[in-house]
Amino acid sequence: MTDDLGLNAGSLDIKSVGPIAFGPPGILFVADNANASIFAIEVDDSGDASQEHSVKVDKLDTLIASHLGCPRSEVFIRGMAVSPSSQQTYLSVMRGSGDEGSSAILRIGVAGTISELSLDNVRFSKETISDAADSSDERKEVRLLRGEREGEDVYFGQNKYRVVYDKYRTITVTDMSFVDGTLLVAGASNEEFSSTFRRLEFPFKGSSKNNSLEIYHVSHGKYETASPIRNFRLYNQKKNVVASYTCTPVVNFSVDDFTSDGHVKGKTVAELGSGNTPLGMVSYLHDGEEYILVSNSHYPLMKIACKDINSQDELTEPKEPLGVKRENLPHEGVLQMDNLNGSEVIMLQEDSSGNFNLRSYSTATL
Amino acid sequence: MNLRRQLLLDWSVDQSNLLTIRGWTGKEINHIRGLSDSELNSSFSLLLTEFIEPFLHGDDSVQPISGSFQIEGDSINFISRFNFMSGVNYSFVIKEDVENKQFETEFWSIERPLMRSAPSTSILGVYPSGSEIPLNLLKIYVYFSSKMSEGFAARNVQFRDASTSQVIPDVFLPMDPELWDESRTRLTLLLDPGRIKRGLVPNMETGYPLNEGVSVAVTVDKTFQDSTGRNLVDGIQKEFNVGKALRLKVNHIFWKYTIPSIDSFEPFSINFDRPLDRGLLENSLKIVDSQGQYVQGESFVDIGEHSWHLIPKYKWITSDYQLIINPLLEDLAGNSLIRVFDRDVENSNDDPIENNEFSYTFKCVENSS
Repeated sequence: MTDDLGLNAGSLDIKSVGPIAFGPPGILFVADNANASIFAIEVDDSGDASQEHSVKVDKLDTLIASHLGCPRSEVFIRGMAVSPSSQQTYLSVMRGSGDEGSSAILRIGVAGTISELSLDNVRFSKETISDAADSSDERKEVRLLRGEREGEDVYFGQNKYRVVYDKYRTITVTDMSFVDGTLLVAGASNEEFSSTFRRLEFPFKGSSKNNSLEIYHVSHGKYETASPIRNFRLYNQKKNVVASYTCTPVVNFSVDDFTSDGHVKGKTVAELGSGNTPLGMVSYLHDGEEYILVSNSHYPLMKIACKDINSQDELTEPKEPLGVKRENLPHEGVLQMDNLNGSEVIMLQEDSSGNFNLRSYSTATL
Repeated sequence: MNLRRQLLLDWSVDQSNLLTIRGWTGKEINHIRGLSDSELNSSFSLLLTEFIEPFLHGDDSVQPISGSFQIEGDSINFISRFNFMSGVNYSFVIKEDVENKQFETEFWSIERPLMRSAPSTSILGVYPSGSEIPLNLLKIYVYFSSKMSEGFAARNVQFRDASTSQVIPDVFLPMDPELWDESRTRLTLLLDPGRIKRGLVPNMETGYPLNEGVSVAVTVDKTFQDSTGRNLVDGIQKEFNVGKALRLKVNHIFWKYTIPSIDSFEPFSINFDRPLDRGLLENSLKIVDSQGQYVQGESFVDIGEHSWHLIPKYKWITSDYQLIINPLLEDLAGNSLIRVFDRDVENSNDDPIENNEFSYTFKCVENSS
């Protein structure tokens, strides 16, 4: 039976799990890049939103590995999103890779309990991304990693990096955000100008509006249209999108630019450093000021004031200047981030022993 | 650690998420049958063995594997939410003494073998497919039903003495990379040419790779892995008698031709005077009509590589047809239409031929009926 959100009961045919994001109350969006699809799944997510929690879960990867019955090295956390209604943290996790790989959506309670979202007999709807790169598309995008769980060692100049070369199909969706009835989806398409920003109405309508993106890449010294956004967030009362890219330009888009189909040029406002892939992004308010945090594979966690983004002139020259000022924060090994509630930001962190920990931090301390 | 019980852990053969725990006494199993589902699942746990120590010490970050226990006959099954992983060691833990309700822990461990799904690739054939090979045989082919892995040829394909099964060493020329066709389903193995050509040092020192008059066998071991890393369905053993060396050019005037009737789908057939190279036969013979158009159809080679047939897609018409023969078509000893592989420089009959065009012209016969 279909309801007004267009959901049907059934079992999900998910091949892979990637980025996730919360939508209207009780709806979790899950990107399945192998299927070039996005699922909207109804989650039973009752909780107490009135009380603001803080979270401290040690050895999250051990918790997940023991629950899934695999070694820690076979746990790959692909997405993280906090439910605004319950403050529970949802994780999209691949257990193993290749033919033995399985998908799971896990829920970490505020007290650190783990449970799994059933993908059988749930209410869901599905949108297929029609312009996704075919699985035979051999184009690849480099992703630099923290740690050595995945990937291979390569040398760029004298420096060794751990990298994965993602086929374009697998980066069809790199990040998602839900705003006012629309799911915003960054990623790669099958076009030559591959970097794309899609707008999917929800309830799904079977179509999306797409913009190809162009940005000035400071460390590469040229305009680029192929590499996709890695992470993005809305800020400035949802009037702007701030996005990060590999090697590591930070780009400001006006939401007004995304009103029709076509090519959109972003305004590069910061260069955070070459030889780096941004891993996560979150925006938050503190004392009436809005900030973003960017976590990085090869640089510390960085904090940028959004008012500086708005006043920054576009960067159009290679290397210098670096654009808006940024502040390095001491938080170790930050991977993904989200808002836990109005006053806490949650971070998935890898400590020096290689354990993953989930921690929330008061925005007053950031 | 209390090890009174003699429990056995068994992987299911056909269910990748099922582990069976057997060996319970009648008293134990009766007690277990009396437990509720939740009691059953709180008494027993399955864990990765690497997490046993922290689990027994109450480390909150370690959880039992997601799944459920069920009683079946005199055994307990654990049905895991996810398939068990190859090469991982798992442990079954009893947290509660099922006889005396005393809280104790015991565990039993089992490693998940590096299991793969059943083999599906088979050997389609070893060529030459006849039973006799010349002393100076140049190459063999192995045809597989699916794409194969590289790096297994040297240890998995051998010439053996047919009576003792002993491996005959150093027959093949070591090849790196191995010789595969584009689809990586046809492997070519060359016998060491240095031992085949008279007058070369290896031939003079160690002689031919094979000996005339003996029975040999080519064996392909089933551990030759396909591109998915799986073994073959089965290995193969193909026996040959080693005959005399063959040192004559291939000459198509000695071939026997069977000419089809006009307005028929009859095959055009050639009987060779000796077996020819299976791999080269696949694309060395073509027929064109008087307009210069290739005759389309299905060609095949009989077992023994002694004959070749073409069944046309369209009926034969009144025309001057021409069979065009690739001058590089070889017999089993590498002799082609233009050269003898191991030529006798004293013998002018063995001199290479400059002419590169070999053909046979025919008209289809009138249908007698």
